[in-house]
Amino acid sequence: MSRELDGPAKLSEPVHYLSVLTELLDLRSRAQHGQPFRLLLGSERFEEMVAYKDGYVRCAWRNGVDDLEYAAFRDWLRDIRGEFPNDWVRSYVDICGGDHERAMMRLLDFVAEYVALRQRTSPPENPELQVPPPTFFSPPERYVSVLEELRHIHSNTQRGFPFWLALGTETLPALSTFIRGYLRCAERHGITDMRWLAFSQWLVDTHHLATDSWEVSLLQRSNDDHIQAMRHLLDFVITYGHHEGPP
Amino acid sequence: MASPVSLVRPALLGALPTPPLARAVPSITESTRARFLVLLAQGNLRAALEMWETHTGRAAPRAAWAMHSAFDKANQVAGACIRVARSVYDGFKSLGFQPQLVRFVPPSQAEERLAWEMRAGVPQSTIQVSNNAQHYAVKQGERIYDAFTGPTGMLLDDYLERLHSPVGRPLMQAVESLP
Repeated sequence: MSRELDGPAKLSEPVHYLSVLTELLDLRSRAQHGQPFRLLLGSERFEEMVAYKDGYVRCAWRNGVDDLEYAAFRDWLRDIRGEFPNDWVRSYVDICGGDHERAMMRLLDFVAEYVALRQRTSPPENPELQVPPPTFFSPPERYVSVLEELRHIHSNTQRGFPFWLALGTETLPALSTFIRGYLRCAERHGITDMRWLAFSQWLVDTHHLATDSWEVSLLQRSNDDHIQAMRHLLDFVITYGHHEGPP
Repeated sequence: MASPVSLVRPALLGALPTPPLARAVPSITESTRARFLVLLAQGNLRAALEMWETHTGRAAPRAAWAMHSAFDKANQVAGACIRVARSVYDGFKSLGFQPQLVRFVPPSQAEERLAWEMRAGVPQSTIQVSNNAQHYAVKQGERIYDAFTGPTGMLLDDYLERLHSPVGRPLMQAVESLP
């Protein structure tokens, strides 16, 4: 769906990019106030929260921003704090005795520790604690929809690349939280992904797949095969693209 | 009293990599090194080391023989790259080469995954190499060496055909040391 502008093309005011660190701190705060991760993210599994984070930074990347603030945090966690080893997703869950909620809080606590340290340390002691200069998120006119990212994932997986390359893991809820993270990033920058909304409506109208229950329905239709279910969803995105016409 | 600069310099020099070993073993000629690389490019580390011993009249350093186990297929797993890069780097240095430590990173700094196509042109054979945003290797001349390339090494362009990230071709960075 193309965006219609009134009269001569008006350029939107540039919007400062809000790092995924801000989003993760918000998640932490809500979780500390008792909101369950299942409601916040649609999942209780650590790797699926990571997919949410990945969706957020992927949206930034597709829309002109590399989340350098997150990268600096990650480098600090890896190189200074020593808590971001290879295979860190599995190791966080292992360290927390298989408790995914604790693993999530462990990562979120590191984010809070980093941000607090950065605020306390002035001037910054090392490059990892420097706040990168502000960057701008794409204006609505140039927003790249999550559907484009899903088409990209579809293309790569059709070529034979595994889903984990895009998502970190290979479950339908990971794809779902990835999409949520992507949409959340757009939302934080004042953008509603109209093409995603139209696609969701089309799923309901044409395939009787309501957004709030498509995970369950797709898994049922795929005999609980997550890869198959993800392929189904991405095939729908491609089919919808034929109806949608050029973006 | 010494200036702050002169106080700092020795510490900095101490932190630099060790002086080129070529200086300590002057009999290694350019042609020995060239022939070594030709044999290595054929995947024959043993023959390359034996040739080196014949040409120099001395036993190849232990660090050079250790490259053999660094290139072992058992090291084609996530998490082994730093150990392998250290071993390969030390091996080349001990033979009088000037290798360069390199790090591959996703083109977006916020991304974390790197994957290696085990069989060229077969994306289904891709395995995860890193999920913490870095993969280390060694560059000697035009070729990249790690556990995945084995002793033959690979030209950078060919290497980058096999190394993937979620958002496109990874980037190579020269680094001074390994973590």
